[in-house]
Amino acid sequence: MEKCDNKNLILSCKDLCMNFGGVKAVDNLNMDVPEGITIGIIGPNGAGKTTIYNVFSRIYKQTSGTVSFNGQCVDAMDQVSVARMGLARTFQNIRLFAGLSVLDNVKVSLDYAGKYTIAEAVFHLPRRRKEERRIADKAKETLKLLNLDSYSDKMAISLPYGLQKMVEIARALVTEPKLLMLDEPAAGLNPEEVLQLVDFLKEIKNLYPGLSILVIEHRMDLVMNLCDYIYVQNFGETIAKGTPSEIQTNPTVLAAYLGEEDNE
Amino acid sequence: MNNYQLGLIMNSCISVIEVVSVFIITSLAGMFSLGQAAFMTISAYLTFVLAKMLHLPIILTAAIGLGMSGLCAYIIAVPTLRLRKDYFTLITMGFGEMMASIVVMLEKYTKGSIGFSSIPKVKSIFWIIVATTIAVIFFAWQLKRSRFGRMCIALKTDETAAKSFGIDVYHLKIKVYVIASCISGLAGILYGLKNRVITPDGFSWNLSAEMQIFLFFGGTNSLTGAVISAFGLKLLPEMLRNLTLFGVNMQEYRTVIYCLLILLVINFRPEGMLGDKEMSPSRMVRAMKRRLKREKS
Amino acid sequence: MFLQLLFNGISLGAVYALIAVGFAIVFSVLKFSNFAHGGMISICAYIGFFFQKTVKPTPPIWVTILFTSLCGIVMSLFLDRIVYASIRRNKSPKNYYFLSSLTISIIITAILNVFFSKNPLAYPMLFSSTTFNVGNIRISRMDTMILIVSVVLLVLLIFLIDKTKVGLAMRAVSIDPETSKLMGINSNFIILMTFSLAGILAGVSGVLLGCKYGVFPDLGQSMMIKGFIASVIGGLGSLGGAIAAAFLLGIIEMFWTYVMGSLSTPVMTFVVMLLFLFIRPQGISGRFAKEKV
Repeated sequence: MEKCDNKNLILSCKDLCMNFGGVKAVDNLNMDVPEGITIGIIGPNGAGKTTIYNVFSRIYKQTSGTVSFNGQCVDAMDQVSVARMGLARTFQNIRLFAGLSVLDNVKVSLDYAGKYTIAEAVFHLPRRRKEERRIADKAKETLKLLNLDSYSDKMAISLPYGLQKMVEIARALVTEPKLLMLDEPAAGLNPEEVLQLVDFLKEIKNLYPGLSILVIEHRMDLVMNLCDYIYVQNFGETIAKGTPSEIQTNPTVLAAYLGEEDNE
Repeated sequence: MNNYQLGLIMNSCISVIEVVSVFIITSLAGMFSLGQAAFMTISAYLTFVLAKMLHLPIILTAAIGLGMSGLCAYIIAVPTLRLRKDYFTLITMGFGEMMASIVVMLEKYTKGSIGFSSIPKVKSIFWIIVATTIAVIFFAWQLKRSRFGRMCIALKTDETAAKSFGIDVYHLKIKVYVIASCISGLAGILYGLKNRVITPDGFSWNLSAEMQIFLFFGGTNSLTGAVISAFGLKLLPEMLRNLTLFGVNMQEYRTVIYCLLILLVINFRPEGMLGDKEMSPSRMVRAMKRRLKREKS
Repeated sequence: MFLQLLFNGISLGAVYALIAVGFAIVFSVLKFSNFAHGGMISICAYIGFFFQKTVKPTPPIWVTILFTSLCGIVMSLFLDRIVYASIRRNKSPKNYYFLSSLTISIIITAILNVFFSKNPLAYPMLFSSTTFNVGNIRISRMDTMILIVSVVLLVLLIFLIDKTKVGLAMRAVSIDPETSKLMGINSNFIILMTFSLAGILAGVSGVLLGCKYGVFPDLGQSMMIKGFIASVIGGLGSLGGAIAAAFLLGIIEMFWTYVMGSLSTPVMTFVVMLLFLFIRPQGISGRFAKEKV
């Protein structure tokens, strides 16, 4: 990725391996994510893509190799600290918080940094009121920016599937993270919803120019359309990487992955 | 109202305070504690025994009692909340048993299972209890609506997702558990002041279980539901006083009736009577309007 | 004296092991803490007591144990049908298992309280002379009987789980219920099997505890705590760990009681458990039941 060297690296990992028992879910992964760039990770089911995310967000500790985020080595950190450093993610199966409304789901992302104590909360003191207003304004602003404000009072899990996916993304974006990791955002959507999602993501790229995005996706059209750079994974190994046009003409990829798609 | 009726209301209020503490632990943070009665034991005994032995004012010893409740909760929470949920439930239950036997062990100071009764009479105890109950409900309500409440509900639904939004699940749980245990302790002190005698049996394991039953009956996520059911179900045995079944007074069946109620609720209305909903005046007005509209059309 | 205490400790541990295993077996397969086990033990103790008393001619103890175990199975399956089945169907959160098993335990204790009052009933004398001597250890016949029955049952159980097909299926379900369903294991059958085993254990421990301590409504509940503690120390969900921890707990308790008196024993067991969680949270067995991500 010579052309990106002048930009800051948001995330990079060297020789990353993750074994479960004897299974190598991630094998010697080297990945650099520069600022403001969208990177796609594609590959068949079981290629270890979600495992990569789980290592980056510190749900798993890698077997070997190093990960650094925003210039800092995060090997010894836990999920909470990297999240607070500006790594946001969505999940493969929607994991919105069931007991909360759309607005509250978005507010929750801001809550850990809220500047009032439990004592101030129970006595309903002025600082709490001020902070709550700030959090609510920020959440509403993000929802409005993403055109989701008409749903803010609905219970999050009562929305249609496609909208839930967007709320999940809004929830991740509200903290203005440095890196957004999307895990199969288009899974389970119908073609029309996929188009909406692509527009939605393009809109996000416009709105947050400094934001780096990682996308795991099966749908080639979406990845080709959005990403600046693509990694192709198979059985934990990177079998190819390059720009979308390079990937589309790469013979290994065509054989391993795109070929299957054509047969369908 | 006569003394008997005032007594019933005071009992119900104390039960409301207990259930609010369990509400904070279970409905907000998703933990299942079976040892809340133990914190009532700690606070009540420390408050009254110290007050008698050292001739200190009750308000001071009560502060010591509440502090001790919080400290014990902290000691239990630190090793257990790192582990899976079941450990927490089992260990709080074990803690309850341990407190009961400590009371018997320290018979010299606590009078053991006969009960400790050197409790001073407090003027206008009724109003103290009612005011405390209202204050506790207000605190819990504010807690639920604050950032802490939201974070708790988030971690209850999905811990992994909550962590990925920067919520420090472990420390938040500890905080919430300590606060709730202090509230339980408060209920213990009020119980002592009202009954003027405390026994280890009064704070038994069954009381901890009863709180959970009241909570689930009212609605697993509804503070108002929990408050109403705690108040009402505590009065229920009094309504059964004059009924007999198989020659046994129905009051004897109190626990059985509670349990049958909760089994029915779990089977047919798993989210409890009020479910997620809170009852507030504005909501009730809206519901009334809807109903009027329906009747007109 | 040392040998004497050791023997008493082991026989106490055997009882704890029965309770702990009855609890742990449900936990390992269904992943919830079955508080109802305490209530089941109480009710089985009463059934055994009345069977022993009313049937003429007085049956030998093993018949009583057998009969009570059968009742244990029936009740256990009945409970599963009316309580846990609907929770499984609704896929309700785990707290509902806690709550309903708790409710069952309370309801059983409360009903027993109403009908039989709190006073303990004593089992009829089983042995003409209650102790015999080996060297200078005085051994109670009752404890010996309890020890033998427990050990035989535990060995049978371990054989069943380690060596038979049903046991293999149970272990598979306990590790990964979804996958084992896909592999063609009938998980409903395994659940029934699990509850039957728990029922048998409740039946046997009910009779044995009844013999040792007399029969009263809180019997199961009060002993249950020891079972919980043993399975926590052993590592939740591990049968071997629970058995080892139960014997350890029995022996420690005997020695502690001899030195420090019985009043402080509950405090000691709780502190031991808490220390264990600090130092070795994965339990004796080292198999750590973790919640899935």
